[in-house]
Amino acid sequence: MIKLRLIIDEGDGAYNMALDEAMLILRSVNAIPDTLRLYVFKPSTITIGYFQSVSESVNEDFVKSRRIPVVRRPTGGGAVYHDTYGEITYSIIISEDKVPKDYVESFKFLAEGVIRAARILGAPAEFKPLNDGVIAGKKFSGQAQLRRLGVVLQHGTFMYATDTDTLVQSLLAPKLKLMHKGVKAMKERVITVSIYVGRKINRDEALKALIKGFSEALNAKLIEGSLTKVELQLASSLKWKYLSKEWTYLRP
Amino acid sequence: MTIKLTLEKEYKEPRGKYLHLKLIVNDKCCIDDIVITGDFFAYPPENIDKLALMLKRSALLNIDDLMKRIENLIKNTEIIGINSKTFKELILGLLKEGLKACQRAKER
Repeated sequence: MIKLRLIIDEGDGAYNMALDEAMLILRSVNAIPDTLRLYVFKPSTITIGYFQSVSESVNEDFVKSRRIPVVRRPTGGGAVYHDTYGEITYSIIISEDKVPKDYVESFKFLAEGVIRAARILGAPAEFKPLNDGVIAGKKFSGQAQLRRLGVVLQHGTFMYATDTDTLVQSLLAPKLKLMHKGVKAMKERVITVSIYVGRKINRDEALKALIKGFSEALNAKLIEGSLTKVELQLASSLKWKYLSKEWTYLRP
Repeated sequence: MTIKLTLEKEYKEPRGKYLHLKLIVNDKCCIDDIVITGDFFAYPPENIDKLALMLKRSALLNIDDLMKRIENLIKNTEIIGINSKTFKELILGLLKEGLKACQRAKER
């Protein structure tokens, strides 16, 4: 059985990404233990993948009108809408020797917690390669990963009650991508646990399911802890990167 | 007067990820910029940035040399969601189109 420090947290997008990066760095020098962090974006935020362009992936007029911030992640993958009242993000910061070497296998291994959490709440979730969690063929979770200095950072979403109307209006998907999936609109591709089970799941239930799900999936003893001074200080320094226009608009 | 030509290529790997390439070439057949975007993963991710930086301000007339340098970078990069060979071929294809386009522009 492995031990994982459990952090339950909330913050704005820049803080959340800065803290994930800070934890990756600090884990690489053994300043912190292997950690599972479950967190909420407050306010609701869009994060885009490291290789994406804001203009290609986000409906900028819509998000400006709704004052939804956009933050570039340090990890690849696609654009995500993190709904304060409908989504919990997980990040796992763990030494590389504890996860499969193969990237797609490791996406699946580390995402098993969200799959189990959805099943605990009554939805028949499955992992769909490369990096999605699906319920009845529709996506409720996506994962992204970065590896540095012998440490893996994987973070991903758990859409338990996301406002999918805001999601589909905020995000752009290239027509080529939608065509390949045989759908005309993004809304056909996404689902939340609440939509499937037919009732509104609340945050507390979602959190409890994720804790149980990850504990079982990783055969882990989760020990609730708090962030150290050095984590908070490093995150505070890194936050400027995630707030900067140069980082956010890195790719035209 | 410097002419700038913009060429683009989009690709979606079946059951994989999306890639968008944008190449800006001037009439001296030099690459002004190349933008590589998409929802794929790459490890280490900096190698994709190095690739774009390496191609920037390179002369398209040295396309064989460019290709060797691209191959060298890609072989040290694990790309998830787009087949590496396809990734290389898409870039090479775009560079070749860029070269043809700027040669045509020069003739006019």
